[in-house]
This record gives sequence, C-alpha cells and structure tokens, in this order.
Amino acid sequence: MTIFNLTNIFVKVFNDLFSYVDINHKFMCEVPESSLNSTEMVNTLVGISGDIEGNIMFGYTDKTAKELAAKMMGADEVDEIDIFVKSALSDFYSEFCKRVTMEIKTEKLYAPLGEDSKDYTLFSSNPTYIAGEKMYGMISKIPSKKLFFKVNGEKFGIAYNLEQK
Amino acid sequence: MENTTDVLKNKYEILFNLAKKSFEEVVSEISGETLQSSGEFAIANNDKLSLSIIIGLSGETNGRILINTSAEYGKNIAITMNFGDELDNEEDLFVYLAEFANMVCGRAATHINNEFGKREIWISPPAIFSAQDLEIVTPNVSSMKAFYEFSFGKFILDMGFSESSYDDF
Repeated sequence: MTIFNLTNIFVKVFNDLFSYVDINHKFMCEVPESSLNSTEMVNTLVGISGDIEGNIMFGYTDKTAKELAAKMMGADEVDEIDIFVKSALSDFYSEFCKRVTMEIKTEKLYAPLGEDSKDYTLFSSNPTYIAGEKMYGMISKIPSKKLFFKVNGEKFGIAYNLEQK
Repeated sequence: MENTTDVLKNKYEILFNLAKKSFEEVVSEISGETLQSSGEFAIANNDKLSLSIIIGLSGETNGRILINTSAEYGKNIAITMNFGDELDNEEDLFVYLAEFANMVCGRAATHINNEFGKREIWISPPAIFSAQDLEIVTPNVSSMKAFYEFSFGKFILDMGFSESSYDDF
C-alpha cells in the first residue's frame, strides 16, 4: 500500500531542517513517478527498514553540498568535498530520515483503520554518499516518487519509495 | 576476558562470513559454479561503466552491504537470470540485479538472524547505481571486503559496519 500524504511530511521536515541551518529553500513541485532515474551530481541514499521499507535518495548539486556542509561544520566556506564534508552531509541526512520516520509514527500514517495508534518498528541505515558522471540509479523496482525543491537557487530533489510490509 | 572492541570485531567477522556464504550460495545456484574468494583486485577503469548495488543494514547492527562490479559484468548475471535471452532494455538490467541483490541479502539476513537466534539485522530494498567514475562512500563505517572472479566477471562484496549512533540536533 502506498502512502499518499508522505509528501507533506517530507516538505515539513525539509522546511524545518533547512530553516535550522539557515539556508534559503522552497518546495517547488512533485514530478511524475519513474523507476529509473537520472540522478544529480551528488546524491545521498538512506535505506528504511522495519514495518515500512524502502529507500530515500537526496539529489543535489556540488554547490549545495558545500554550503550545507559549511553550515554543519561551522565553517565560512568549504572548498572541496572531502571525508569531513561527506560525514557532515551524512549527519544531516540521517537526521532528516529520523525525523521523517518520527513524523510517520506521530501522524499514525500506517495505523490500521479504526485504531488510534500502531507500534512501529522503523530503522534508517547509515547514509551513503554517491557521485559520478552520467549516473543512473534505481531505488525501487516499482516507480518512486520525486519531489523538487530549490536550495539557494539550486535544484534539490528527494526521490523515495516507502511501502508497508 | 575479551574487551568490547574484540567482541564487536568477532561479531562483524561472523556477519561478514554469513554474507559471503550467502553471496557464494546464490551465485552458485545461478551460474552452476563453485565460488571462492580470490586475491584483491580493482574493477573500475576508464572504459567501463561502474555498477554498484547498495543495501542498507539496520537493527542491532547498522551499516550497509555493497556489491561492486561493472555494468558489463552485471549484465552477465541479468542475462542468465533472463534464461539466457538478451535484455529488452536498460531498465531490465537494474530490475534483475535488484532481484539478485534481494536473493543475496535476504539469505544473508536469514543466516544472520538464525545464527543470533533473534532479529539481529533488518535490510532495506536494494538500490542500484551505474556511472562513470562512480564514487560511493558511507562515512563512519568500517568495511570488510571479499573479491570474486568467475565466469560472469569480477565482483567485490563489501560489508560495512557502524558503531556510531547519530545525535539529534
């Protein structure tokens, strides 16, 4: 069963976290589903497992990666994407996915009809940084949803597929 | 008396050996070959498209399983799973490899959970990426690798474990 109001949760968490790190941001639109996606220059993948399973992939530009990492590390600017930058980005997206899973629990998205709540087992795996030229990726055998945002004028995408087991 | 680091190291070795066993079993069933890990080698070079399958691990142990190969070698698995017929389109390569990864990691999860007598790990669905100069990094994990070279090509099984937990903001 696919959940349709997950979009609201992703947009809420996106707004909360980018406001926290004080970077200009805006939700743009939801784009048609597809299973094979051309990806952005820089991507971070987080696996979700437990009662709900799937993948969440963040696609963004080199510039956004550096700006975000600089904010996370308390630096004025970051020149290159080294292991410290990747680690900072990992922390950010790990927090993002934990908040998404918390919101799913809070909003009782998967509670059976007629029940007020459900005890969920939900885990998120370590974020993985993925980059490369002419990259194609598939995060699910069935089409995944994709949300587009702008972060400081740069394109920022979230592709996800979360299914109840 | 073993300290915590030794206990964790032993646990990771058990987990990795069970993942290796699963990979070898599944490949043997598909290819009919008996598999043994070989010496270290590199896959990526300039004229090949790198391909990686990533499966997140969570639960009592966090981390990820990475299967690294090239699109050319991955295609050999996909065609064999397609009963020897050529693939209709590029998407089929990803779909067959996702199924292959599901078989390997599903079996690994079963072996691991049986070994520990409880739900030690949960796995997330596989994600597959191909690119030139593909770079995949999972910060804060220590990884163990096994190298396999057989009729389908070269494959690297890379299992990474994380001891860290992420603090909330």
